[in-house]
Amino acid sequence: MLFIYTYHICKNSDLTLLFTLLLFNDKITLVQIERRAKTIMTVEPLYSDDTAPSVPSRSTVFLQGLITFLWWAAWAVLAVFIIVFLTASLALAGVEPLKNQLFTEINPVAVIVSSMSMIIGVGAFLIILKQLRAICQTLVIGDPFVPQNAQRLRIIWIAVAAAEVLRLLSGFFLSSLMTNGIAAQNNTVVSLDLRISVWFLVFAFIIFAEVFREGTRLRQEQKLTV
Amino acid sequence: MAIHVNLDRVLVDRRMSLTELADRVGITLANLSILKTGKARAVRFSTLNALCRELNCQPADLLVYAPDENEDSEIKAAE
Repeated sequence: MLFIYTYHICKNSDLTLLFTLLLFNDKITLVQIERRAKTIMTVEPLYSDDTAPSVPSRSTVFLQGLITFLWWAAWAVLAVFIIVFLTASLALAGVEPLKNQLFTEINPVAVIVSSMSMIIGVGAFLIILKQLRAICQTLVIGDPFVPQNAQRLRIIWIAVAAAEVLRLLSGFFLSSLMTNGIAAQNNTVVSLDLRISVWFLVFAFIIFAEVFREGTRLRQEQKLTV
Repeated sequence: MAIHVNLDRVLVDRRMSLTELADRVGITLANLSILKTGKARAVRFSTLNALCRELNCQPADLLVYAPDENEDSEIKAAE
């Protein structure tokens, strides 16, 4: 009882360890106690503190700034194309001043289709930027290998692929529209330009996303390794 | 999981708090709690070494194998 009492009195001193050792391991010799006391006093932390906030690197700060700039620039471009789209729609609907002054040489349908494809393209760009911003945020926090980031990479390649498909479709539609309008010129053809580099990028992104998913799984396992 | 961590019992025997053990072993309290509550997926040998050293016990005192009744179904589900 006395020992337990002493233990509680000076809980944090190394002396108590000797008492507790005497109390609970009566077979232990004095030499062993001394040796143990030495090791106890020189216990170094096994792992660094996980909760310590990491300082974001300069490149991360730069990337974040760049992403924020691109984000607002993309919104501005989106606004411009929405205005063009609305103007063309009004002209098509029969607003005379617009039709006579602005769309004398250009077919408003072509403008609508091209501006719509641009709106979708910029929209996809915004979606990608939003994901990149969130990924950068996790990088600043210090733990980018989270399952949400794997999901974000997946969203990015889907957005790139969807935007490319829509660009192909609108390009196809526009070229067929133009050739209908100018039937006599034989040099205009219905074009279908497949961009190999974009599809290769999508392919690479799919692989990266899957590798990242596996990485996050390993990270989760590492988190639960004590 | 059929492996159970007996850290609770050993700590009670040694009259040591989890915070104190965390300080001595050099593991964060959060990680030690993960181990204590049985959420841990793996234990490093270095951790086990430090725990056994500080608690003056054997690994067998900390880890106990007790087969679960539904372990077979768990394995099947995992497969």
